[in-house]
Amino acid sequence: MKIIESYNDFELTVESKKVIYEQIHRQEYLEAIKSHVPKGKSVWIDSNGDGKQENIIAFEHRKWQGIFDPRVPIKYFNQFKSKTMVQAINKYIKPTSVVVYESEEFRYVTPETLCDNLKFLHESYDTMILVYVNLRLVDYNKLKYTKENIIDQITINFGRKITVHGINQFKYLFKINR
Amino acid sequence: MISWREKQKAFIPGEVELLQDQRILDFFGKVPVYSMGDVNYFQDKLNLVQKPGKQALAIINKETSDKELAQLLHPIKKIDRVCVSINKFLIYTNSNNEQVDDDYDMALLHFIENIFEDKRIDHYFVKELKGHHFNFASPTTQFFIE
Repeated sequence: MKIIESYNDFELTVESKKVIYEQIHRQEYLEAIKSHVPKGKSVWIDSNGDGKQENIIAFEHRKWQGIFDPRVPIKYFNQFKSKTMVQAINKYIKPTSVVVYESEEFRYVTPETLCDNLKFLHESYDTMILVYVNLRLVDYNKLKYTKENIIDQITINFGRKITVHGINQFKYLFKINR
Repeated sequence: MISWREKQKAFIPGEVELLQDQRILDFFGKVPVYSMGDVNYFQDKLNLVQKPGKQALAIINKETSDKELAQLLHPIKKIDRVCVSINKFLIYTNSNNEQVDDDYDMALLHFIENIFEDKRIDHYFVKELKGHHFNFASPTTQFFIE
């Protein structure tokens, strides 16, 4: 019998990675998110973006390369905060929105990091930003603060540019306009 | 449907046990255990019983408010040996509590200490817990109370 403590105790196969990616990027709220996406080209980053759809350009982290159908046009990045990726998206794609759905950049992070990542997106892309956040997976003291308090802490940084749409209980869509 | 625990265990060839599950198995042995919460995995591994006795296991792995948690644990606070296992991401409060310790792990310990007064508590947790320790399969915040 082997006792395992964490993912550091073994190597993941491509099949295992596929199971994990599917578990992380649940399809459940995709339609609700899509209803907020404006017309035009939409860039989906680390978000199970369907590159087969004409108006969606999907970017995924390189660590997931190999789990997707190679016929689907997906672009890969090494760093979420890559200047090169930002420049390429702004210059060549000129999207009407950037969508981040179930991204690891917004999971297991503190409210401060979450806010920094939102600021990065807002300051980097010349377009509407839509970020799905599951507050269950945000790392804060859940005996001390309510989820409403955390949302206030985050949104106060964006003034009137941000709107928060409740998707389901602890799940929210943060929409930041230009 | 295969549980998230079993899916992840299947990533590793051979027979495996999660560290937090093994702690529970070692703590209780074959002595009857009154259980509540997400305990299905232990049906065939522990001697789970319906009536409270000398041992109890509570696994909290769904959204639970601080008030609900206190109510849930109240009936087992006098039991000799108890394990409380909590997915700390799934706890919530409906009111801000400024007097609560800033450190969430310590706040949870104090919460348990207030319920299980004058008991010895062994506290296990993963500092800065991310998604690498199977917490949503089996909670990594555990209190072994005697």
